[in-house]
Amino acid sequence: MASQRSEARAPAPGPAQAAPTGAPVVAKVVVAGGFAVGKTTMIGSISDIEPLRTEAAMTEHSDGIDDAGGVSAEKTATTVALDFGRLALPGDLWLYLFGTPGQERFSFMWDDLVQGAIGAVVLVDTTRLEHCFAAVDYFEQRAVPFVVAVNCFDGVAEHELDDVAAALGLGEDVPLMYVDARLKDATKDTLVRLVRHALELSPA
Amino acid sequence: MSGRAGPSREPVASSVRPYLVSRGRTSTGSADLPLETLVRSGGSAVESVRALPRTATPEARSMVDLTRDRYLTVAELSAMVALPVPVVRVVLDELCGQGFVRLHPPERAVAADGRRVVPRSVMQGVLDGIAAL
Repeated sequence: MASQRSEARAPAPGPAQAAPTGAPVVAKVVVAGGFAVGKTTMIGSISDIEPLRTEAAMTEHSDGIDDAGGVSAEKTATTVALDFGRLALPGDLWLYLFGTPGQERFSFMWDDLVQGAIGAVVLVDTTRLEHCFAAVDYFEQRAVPFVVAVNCFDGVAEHELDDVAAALGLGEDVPLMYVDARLKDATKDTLVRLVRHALELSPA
Repeated sequence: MSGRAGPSREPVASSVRPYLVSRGRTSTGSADLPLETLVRSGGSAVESVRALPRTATPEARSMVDLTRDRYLTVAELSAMVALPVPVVRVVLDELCGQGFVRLHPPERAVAADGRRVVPRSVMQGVLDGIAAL
């Protein structure tokens, strides 16, 4: 902590303190998961504002055959819709929650979204477990701290957490929990687990 | 950075429209401006939106106007003016260069391996804040 160096022009503010410029301190987390798993519901359960929708830049991966007959992994920049919310915390600290794009296409690179995030929640529907594989792979490859939250609609857990961990091939250190994404308290607990996990992994 | 803003206003398809706002430019020095960068107008140069050049687009005016009394992030501005983030970045880059808005990128610490990371103090503040909800 003592060796911490801020790149901001102004001196680094202490914990939960407003920056000398008077600007709030901002932070973000990402909520990922398959189509219609409840990402926006989760964001809305804790956001101070109705989730907003915007179009952000994503890189799209398209594997194909190029003219010379070789395999090409083409990357194209594109924009896709995503939802986000905001939560004001004490100390003029604003936490943003960004949902990953909802399309059932896993070729998107979310670097723009994930860059600078504290970490990510991977929201899972156990009836469509495979829909979250890409998200888990993505965060593992980029060493982004993440937790896996199994969404229990109506409070009913269909699967044991151990079974979910095995099916996803999760490392033992990845926090795994049930959540009801509609409930503020459940979302809060999930975010607490995520930020604790991120702090444990933080190199700074 | 040629700002040749011709006065011709041909009717265009809506998918093309956003890139008229940025005058066809899609990449910029602020390409890595994070989504959660804070924007505030009323920089050193000008306090009034009226001082914007006449060639300024309505969207650029809106961005200056919306951030006059409060901070908004790039993502929020994008949602409010209904333009994709990459377009908003280009417009903000120009407005910032002209002194109409100030940009406050999120704080970063530098890890031992040189990576820019979220400072522990920020994470701790978020943890304490959420836990106390």
